[in-house]
Amino acid sequence: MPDHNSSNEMAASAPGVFVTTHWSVVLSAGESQSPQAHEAITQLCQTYWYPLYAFVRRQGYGPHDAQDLTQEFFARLLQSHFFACADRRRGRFRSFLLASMKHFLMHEWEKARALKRGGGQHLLPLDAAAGETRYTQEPTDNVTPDKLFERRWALTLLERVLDRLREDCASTGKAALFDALKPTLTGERSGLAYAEVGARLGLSEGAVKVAVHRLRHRYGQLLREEIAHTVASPAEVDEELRYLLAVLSQ
Amino acid sequence: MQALPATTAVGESSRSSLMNTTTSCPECGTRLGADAPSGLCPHCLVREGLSILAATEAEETGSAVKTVPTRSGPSKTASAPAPTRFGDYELLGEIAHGGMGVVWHARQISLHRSVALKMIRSGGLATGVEVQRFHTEAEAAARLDHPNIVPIYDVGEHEGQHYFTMKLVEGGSLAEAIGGRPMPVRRAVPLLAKIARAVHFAHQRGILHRDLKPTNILLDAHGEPQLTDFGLAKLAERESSLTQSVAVMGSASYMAPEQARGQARELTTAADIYSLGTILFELLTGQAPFRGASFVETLRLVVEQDPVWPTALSADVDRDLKTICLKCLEKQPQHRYPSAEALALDLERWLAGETVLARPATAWERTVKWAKRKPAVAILLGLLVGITVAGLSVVVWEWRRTEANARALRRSLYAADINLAQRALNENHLGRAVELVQKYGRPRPGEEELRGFEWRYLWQATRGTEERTLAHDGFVETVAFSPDGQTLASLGRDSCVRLWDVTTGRALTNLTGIDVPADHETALFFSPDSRLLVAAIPVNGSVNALWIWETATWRLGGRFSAVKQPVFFLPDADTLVARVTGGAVTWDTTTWQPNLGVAESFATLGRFRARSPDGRFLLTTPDDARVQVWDLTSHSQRGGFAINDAVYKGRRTPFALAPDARIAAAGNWHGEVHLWDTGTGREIAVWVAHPSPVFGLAFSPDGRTLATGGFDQAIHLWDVATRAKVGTLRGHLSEVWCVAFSPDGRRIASGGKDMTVKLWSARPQTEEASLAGARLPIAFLAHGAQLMAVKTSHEIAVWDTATHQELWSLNLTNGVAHELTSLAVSANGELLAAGTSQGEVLLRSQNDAVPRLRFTAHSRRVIGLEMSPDLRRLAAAGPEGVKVWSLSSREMLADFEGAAPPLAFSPDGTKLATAGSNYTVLLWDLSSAQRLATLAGHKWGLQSLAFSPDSRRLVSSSIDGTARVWRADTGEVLAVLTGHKEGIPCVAFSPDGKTLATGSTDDTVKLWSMENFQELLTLPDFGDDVSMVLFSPDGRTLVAGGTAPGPEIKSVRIWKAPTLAEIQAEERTRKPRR
Repeated sequence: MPDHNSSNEMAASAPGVFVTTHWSVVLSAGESQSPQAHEAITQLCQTYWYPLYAFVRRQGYGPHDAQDLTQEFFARLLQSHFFACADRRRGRFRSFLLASMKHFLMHEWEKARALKRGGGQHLLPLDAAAGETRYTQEPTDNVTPDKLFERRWALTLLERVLDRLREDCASTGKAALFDALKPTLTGERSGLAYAEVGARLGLSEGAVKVAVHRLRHRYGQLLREEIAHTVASPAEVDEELRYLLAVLSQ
Repeated sequence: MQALPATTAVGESSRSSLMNTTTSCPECGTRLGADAPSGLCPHCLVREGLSILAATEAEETGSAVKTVPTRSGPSKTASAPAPTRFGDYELLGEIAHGGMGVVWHARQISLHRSVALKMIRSGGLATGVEVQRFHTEAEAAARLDHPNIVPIYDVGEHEGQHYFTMKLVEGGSLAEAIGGRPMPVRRAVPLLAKIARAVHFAHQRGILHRDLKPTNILLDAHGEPQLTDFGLAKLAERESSLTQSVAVMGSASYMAPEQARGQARELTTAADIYSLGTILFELLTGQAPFRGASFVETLRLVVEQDPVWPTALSADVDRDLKTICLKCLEKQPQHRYPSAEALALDLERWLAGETVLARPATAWERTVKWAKRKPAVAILLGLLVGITVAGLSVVVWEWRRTEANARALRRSLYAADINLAQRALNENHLGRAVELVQKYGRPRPGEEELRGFEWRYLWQATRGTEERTLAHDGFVETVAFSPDGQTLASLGRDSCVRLWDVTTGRALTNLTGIDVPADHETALFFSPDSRLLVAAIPVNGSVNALWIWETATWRLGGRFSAVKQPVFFLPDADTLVARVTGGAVTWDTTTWQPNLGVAESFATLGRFRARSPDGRFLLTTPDDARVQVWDLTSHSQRGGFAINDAVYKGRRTPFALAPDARIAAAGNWHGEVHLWDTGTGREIAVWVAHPSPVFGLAFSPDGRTLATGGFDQAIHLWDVATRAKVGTLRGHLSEVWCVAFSPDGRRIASGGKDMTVKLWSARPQTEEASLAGARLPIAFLAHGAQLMAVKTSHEIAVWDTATHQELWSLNLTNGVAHELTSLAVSANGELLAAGTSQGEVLLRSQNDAVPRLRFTAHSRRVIGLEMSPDLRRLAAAGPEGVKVWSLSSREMLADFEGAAPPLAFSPDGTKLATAGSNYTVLLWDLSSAQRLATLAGHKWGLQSLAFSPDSRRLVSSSIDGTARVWRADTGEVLAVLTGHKEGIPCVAFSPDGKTLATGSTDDTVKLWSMENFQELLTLPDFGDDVSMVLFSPDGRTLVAGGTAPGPEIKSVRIWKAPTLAEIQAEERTRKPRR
């Protein structure tokens, strides 16, 4: 699982200020290949490798090939050229990753496979077996590989936000509260009776209302932060959010 | 050509048993699958996220306004009477002032955005020539779209005051960041490299800065440098006032010697490179290289002295860095870096620990420099330098006079104007857009024709969609249709009511002599039987004069004074009612006898606000907080509502009443429109209809559509039930003040500040056409009348480009056993080739249900296909390389190892371009089957290749976000097109070769001049990754396609551009009538 060291630093930041995020660190590093940039790109890849794996599988590659291929792709991405290309560009990580993978499939994979029959070194530890299990459990029919990638991307992002939110709550002993109140994150019609929840958790109805408000507010913060990690400037967060909404509307 | 998406589901079971335990989302009812995060509906999670963030941002924006970011603190002269309103701007506070003028933090009212507004010091532009030059240069600078250059939004003049506006950058200037101390080298060097790249970007577009200094470089919230005042600072400071200005005294330290000498009036890029050197010097040492006790002393030092070595001032500066710095500070322009990019590259080399290219000064050169410091030698050398500079000036002068240079300048200005026109269009500022487009007519003898697809597209886009334009000589206050739908009346500030035949647009008559005062509410309406026309004109405060004409003869039937609004007919048309002080008065409209009996029931009418389209209901406001609806049939009040919003209390706040009076609408100064249910008094909806004030508002006769017109020159049509925008009417060149629907609902009339009345169809065509169901456009058929596009992963179809109807489709998998992996279509769309996962290539004509030819091209999957324009050859790419086959004999003609897609044949059939390894482009000669050249330069994977129609140029595009233009014979790079934020999956030349279109995953399509490689414009946001762009063979159409999200796929977009001949013919027939 990805690590969460960055969440505290994020939580401390004032709302509305665009904190230094993974993708912007990578972009601003240019060709200098700083350790911070390397760390940032590794973080991003560890979080978002699954959507790419699903994309490769949907292209028609078998589980073994897809695992190998995804590993090799990330290994190359982390090793080389990548930083040179990212300089001065101001795009989204999502688009960059997909375009690079398509290029890799078309130009380099066959060659790479021929060269490394003996097995190569993997720079990024990915739980490929879990990825395959997940792939076979999720609906993939009637979508193009691109669309599957976009949808998996959106879901991965949401999962990560919810994981961080749950951890936030758990760190202050409020895991049960999170589990009880999470339906309010999808809107007000969840039919959740605050008094009932309060009675179960030993809180007043008023206290539950306050907790709901805080939970929703924190959710908004974390969502914005997570998206900010994958885009180049704060102006793009809303746009990306609307894009994800469109992706999930299908 | 492009790879097809995979056609069928992969083999294994794709639904797990988990899918059987689905639940539904309590919010939206969607069935939740196993992939729902934490069991929650992903769609609702994102939707809620958006609304939570919007709420949070609203709070933050509220607080942000209170803390106005200033660069040098509030002005000490803030108490002086400052103009708060300045044209379209509100001046909120002074940010800085200097030699050039005052910089204000301002709000642009029409667009609701914060800007920095720079007013040019009065007298700064004394002559007409200087004013012209300022505007020209500012417009050119406004074209610079670079992440490290502060964008200029607008250039203009208000009440004789010249100004320009730019993005408001928070954070201080570089001067403040330096603060007299050296900056850490590892921060300073990348910073200056970025600045140098931005300067180079401007130089490539023909724009010099001329006043680079730390105070002109701002640092944004992320510490990124932002350059301001490109090409402007020096323009606005007249040379003669130089000596007195304190601000200029400061900048003498950053001035190049040739600039300080004042001899070389025509500066070159080398002067900016010198200034970059002084900034680098100051970053490294904390002080400028030359600083005299006085301005003149500083100038003298700049001209005469060699700088101290920065190594002497800071221990952190190494020998290489010193060399770079001193190379910029060379007295002779030709000894400096040849370009700002070369400086940036050397700085980047230094960062990477590589050897820098700046050659250290030789011992001999050092001796010469030393000798120069000796006064006696200096005199001699001064003479020598003087002669050299004088000689250089003459050369430069001569050179600038050459025709080539004039052409370059004209092209550059053209690109700038096209850019600005598109920007104005995006902001609905049609008047400005038209002005810029109209600057370029038919070229005069000897002049180059600059107008390409982009101009023709803009001409069409700015043309307006009105059916007729009718002219007034003053601003148009009110328009009204007669209830029989035959006559349109308009009231203008030209003291005239004009009458028009709605069907023919013919002027019927002018009713003159009516003095229409400014800023008062006038009323103009017909009697229900169309027999009479009434105008209520304020003469003194709320007291109106009433003019009544008989429509049969247009004779003045009566004139009454001292009445107040509302004035209205009762539905039987026999009675006219007007409010008077203390009550109301009515007239029998046949005898004009007053009848006080009816009047009593209307004695409590408030201020008039609107009448329903059928004239049966009135909307009035008895006071600021209440709105009442009056039923004129029953003479009684019927419902109403309360308004709490203070913004509705002002003048020109339009109201409208739906035909059955159940719904009322109002627009306000913030561009919002509110809807109320008049029965329950509840507010139904509020939305932002315009970015700026709404002035005109009207319901259609069926009550389903609401038209809004406003400050932004546009009229929008809204579906009342869903509040969806159903159309936009563009054509007014200034503010729209009034709108009205014809009684049959088929037409709209509007008027406003551009002194015209316009008649429109109330069912406008959608702004940008799209083809439903089409995904990737692949070929134009029938000379552009039809378009072939990929529809699904295994189906292509053909659409009519005029009607947007699908004509026929073809299932490509018929008769094919294996998965399709790639597709190519001949330029005319007649021949189709598909590649399979088993290395087969299948050929068919567009009429074949199954392939007519098949052969095995590779042992494994075909990953790219392309057909030569003459249909003689086919290139098929596999994992091992690219093979070229004869389409007639099916023989293999060549096997290019190491080549990979993308593929492109040159139109003359002699060359093939492919990708090579390490992101290179390979050029192959087809007759000899030899590699001609390897083109290196891209930093990441190639995405697309295209030859120019004359086969002389090749364009490649890459994930690195650039497109490169190469000479197809030598492989020399002619230009690197930077501007996209992400990769560029597709490029296309216009058939005339003048324009290049690029489509990017940053969701934009850009057009570039292939004459000077400048960016011309960005087409309105595509809203999706762009995977394919294509021009029609006649150059009249550009299409782009991507893979759009959303349930309804409508991602192929069409942009039309009529031919120049069509435009000329059209312009002859379109003159306003009067």
